[in-house]
Amino acid sequence: MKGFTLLESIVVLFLFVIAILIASQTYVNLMRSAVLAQSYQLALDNFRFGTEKVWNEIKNGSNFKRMNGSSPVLCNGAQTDNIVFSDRRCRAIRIYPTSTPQCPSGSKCNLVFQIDGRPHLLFDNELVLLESFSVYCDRIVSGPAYYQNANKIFILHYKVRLKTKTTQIPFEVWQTVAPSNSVFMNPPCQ
Amino acid sequence: MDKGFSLTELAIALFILVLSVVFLVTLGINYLLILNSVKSRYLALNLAQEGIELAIALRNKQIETGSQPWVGVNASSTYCLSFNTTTKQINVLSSSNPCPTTIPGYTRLISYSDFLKQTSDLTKATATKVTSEVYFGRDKIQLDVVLTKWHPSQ
Repeated sequence: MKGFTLLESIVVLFLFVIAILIASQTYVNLMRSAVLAQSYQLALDNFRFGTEKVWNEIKNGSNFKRMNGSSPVLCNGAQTDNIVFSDRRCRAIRIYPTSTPQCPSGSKCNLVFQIDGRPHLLFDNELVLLESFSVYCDRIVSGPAYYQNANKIFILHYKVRLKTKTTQIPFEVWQTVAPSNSVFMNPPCQ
Repeated sequence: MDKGFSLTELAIALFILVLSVVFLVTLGINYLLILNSVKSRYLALNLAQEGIELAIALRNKQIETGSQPWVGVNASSTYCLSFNTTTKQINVLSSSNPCPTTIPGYTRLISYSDFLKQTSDLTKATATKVTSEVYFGRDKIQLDVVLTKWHPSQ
């Protein structure tokens, strides 16, 4: 007698379905991992690009002030969430947190990099969600020369969430900068 | 003659199936492992750069405030540098072992030496080599910089 029995057919079909299920599930997981990896990499790159820009500008900047609202704050006080300085071309730079339509419940979830009054968002709203930003600096010496009144070190503390398609990954970075211009006799932008 | 598959044929088919599934799963896991490695190296590089920046700032500060430059780091040796966000001061600690950093699981050690290898007394050295090493897991990242004593106050 030729052909398969009903039992044989059912067993084969069952095994085939199981094999397909395993293969498809593996494929879906693989694709999810790939998408997660790609979007995480994108978010991390966007965050790195923004923070490296800030690092470079502070490294070559001068006349630093930390602001509490519109008043400058000495480093002897508490940390602030923004910083004002002149860049290498003596343009006025201000970095501060801001609220965007993508922010949850009106919180400030991005940083503004303002050049001569023109604001630019530092991070892509779709990739990076800022939770907090703090600026610390050392106590100044105080005296007649610029270097005696210039901060020698700035510590920037970023707490963000890197957005992927499926989840948000918390990320925390402390960035330290010793400005090159802090040892000049006179202010570079007079 | 019996029809159907032999045990050997079934075993080979199953082996190929398992092999392909294992390959795909490994590929997926590797994606995430590489990603984690990228994140770890970024954090470690950031901490190593922080060590260098702390050394630069310490030199600038000490030349301006101290009668002797390299206070606390005046000998060719290894140290731990950190910034105290409360006192706003750079802390120096002589240590032969890497010290904890702001990120758990990452430790850092900073070495000072005479760049021209002429003296172990760095107050007499014209150029000081500073090496910042960060240890994380079984990996290490190292950055070097050469600092001079130049400052407008001198």
